Amino acid sequence: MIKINLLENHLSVPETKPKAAREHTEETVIRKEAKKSSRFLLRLIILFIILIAGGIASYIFRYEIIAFAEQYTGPLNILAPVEPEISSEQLEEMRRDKIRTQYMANTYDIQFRNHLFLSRVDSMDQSNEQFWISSLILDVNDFKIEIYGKKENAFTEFTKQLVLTSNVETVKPLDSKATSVMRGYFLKKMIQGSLKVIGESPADKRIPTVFYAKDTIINKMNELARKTGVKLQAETQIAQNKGVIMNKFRGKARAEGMSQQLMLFLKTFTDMKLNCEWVSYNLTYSAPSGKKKNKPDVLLMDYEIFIPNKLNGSSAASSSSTR
Amino acid sequence: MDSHNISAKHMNLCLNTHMAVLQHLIIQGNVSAQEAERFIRWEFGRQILDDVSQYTINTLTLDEDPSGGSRLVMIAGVRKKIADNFSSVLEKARLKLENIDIDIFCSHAVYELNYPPMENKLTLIADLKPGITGVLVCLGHDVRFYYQFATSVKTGEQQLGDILNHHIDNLVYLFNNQRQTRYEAGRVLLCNSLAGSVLPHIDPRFKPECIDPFRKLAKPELFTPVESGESEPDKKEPEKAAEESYVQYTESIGAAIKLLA
Repeated sequence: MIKINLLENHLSVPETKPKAAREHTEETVIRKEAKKSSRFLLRLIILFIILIAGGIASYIFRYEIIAFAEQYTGPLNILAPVEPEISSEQLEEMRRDKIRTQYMANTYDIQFRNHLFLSRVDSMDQSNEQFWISSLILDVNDFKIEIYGKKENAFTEFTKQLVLTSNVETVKPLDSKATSVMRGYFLKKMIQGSLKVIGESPADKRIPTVFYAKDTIINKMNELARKTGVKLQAETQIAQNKGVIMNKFRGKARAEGMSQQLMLFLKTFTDMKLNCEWVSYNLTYSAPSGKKKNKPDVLLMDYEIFIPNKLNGSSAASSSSTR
Repeated sequence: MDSHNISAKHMNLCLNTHMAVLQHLIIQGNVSAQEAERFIRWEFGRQILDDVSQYTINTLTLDEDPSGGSRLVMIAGVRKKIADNFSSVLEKARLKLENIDIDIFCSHAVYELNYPPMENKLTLIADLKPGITGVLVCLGHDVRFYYQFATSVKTGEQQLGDILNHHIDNLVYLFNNQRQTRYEAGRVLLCNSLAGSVLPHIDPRFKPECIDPFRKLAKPELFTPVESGESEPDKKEPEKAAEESYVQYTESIGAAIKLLA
């Protein structure tokens, strides 16, 4: 009878080769090398992934990293400064600020022109005794001069000098009249004319203007007047004219003093580059009596103070700077 | 089994050849046992194309050159997992699995017990199953050769009979050629489920018959309930009907014989 029992194994347990022997078989060597190379490849892949992830993280947190490094090294200036996101409201405010500063640059040019003209005419008056200017009116671009002369030649000479004055566009002398109002001066003449219009300043020309409050400006005016020896009376209760970009306060001022003092006052005030503009000038010279004047010259002026109108409808703070 | 008042504790499992691997190979006489084992392992591995350590392997020497030359070895193997599964299932049924055998060898046990050996003629035990047919070549009661051929599951009975006739001629020729003998096929014993239907188509010169497990053995009492007090004619009728159908129990009976032997 055939004896078969498949619960029992007739063959012995498979022999296991010694470890040392197995290590040297071709199969194990190949397997080992494959494992090694796969491990190396895995490391390479992991390293590559780490490098990529590190690069991305460094780019995302570049500002934080540089800021941390700058704590120890000082400013590195590697990255471009971050410009904060600008809202449409801020953009509009920036646009208005640009217009304001450009406007103030233009105003400064006009003020400077006026000052040059007034100073020039004043110096002509002081340097020649053949004529005497009784009044000088400058309203925006047009001027009127009332002049007394001893001879007709004096007017001719004055007109010649006036024409040569810079910024003078036109000069129109009217007919001379005989007069006996002023002793020693027998002729009276009116000279009209206009100054060259100051063109709009280039868009990029802006002057750093500090927008002060109305009262501050008036205080500065008074303070400057004291320093220059001018007696100034400026209106404090002045009307407001509302605008989109800037509100205007228009008022009148009366300054008394020697014409040189008045010119110094005007020049210094212009150089202060305040948010204030002289709109019209009416200078009345006191009558000469010998070499020394007895009465002070009087300068009547209209002025305008500009206060920025912010987008939210409020006027700018008095001392905040807008540049 | 409980319903038939059968109490069993041990079991011999007869495995279908579909689930096992049967192979025979010639081993030279001058090789050592260790080398022979390595050779068997290698050959078996070539057959299953799998890890040999996953199989339980039995070896059986079928034929041996008395002069110390080569020997023909039968290798039977089954996957360990299959055996373990059967064991665990039977454990739950409180049965101890004593043995796992292969069906054709159980049929051989039935043949050995019921049929006298033939002198100078071969007895062929043909295990007819759908898809595969195994033929055990016996000289006397001794198994000398195992022959296997595949068929289609859809192969008809007549066609299967014709194929078997053809293969019997071939295998006898092969057997004689290997051993330089002139044996003839004395009888063919058909077993398994297709035996009865294929029998009419086997060449009469092979003296075919269905194997009868109760040729010498006493037939057991039928597994019929006795409580209804059935009459005698009623008892005979199922016996007649059972004579033919006993063929399909050949393997089971063979397994029982081997368990009791």
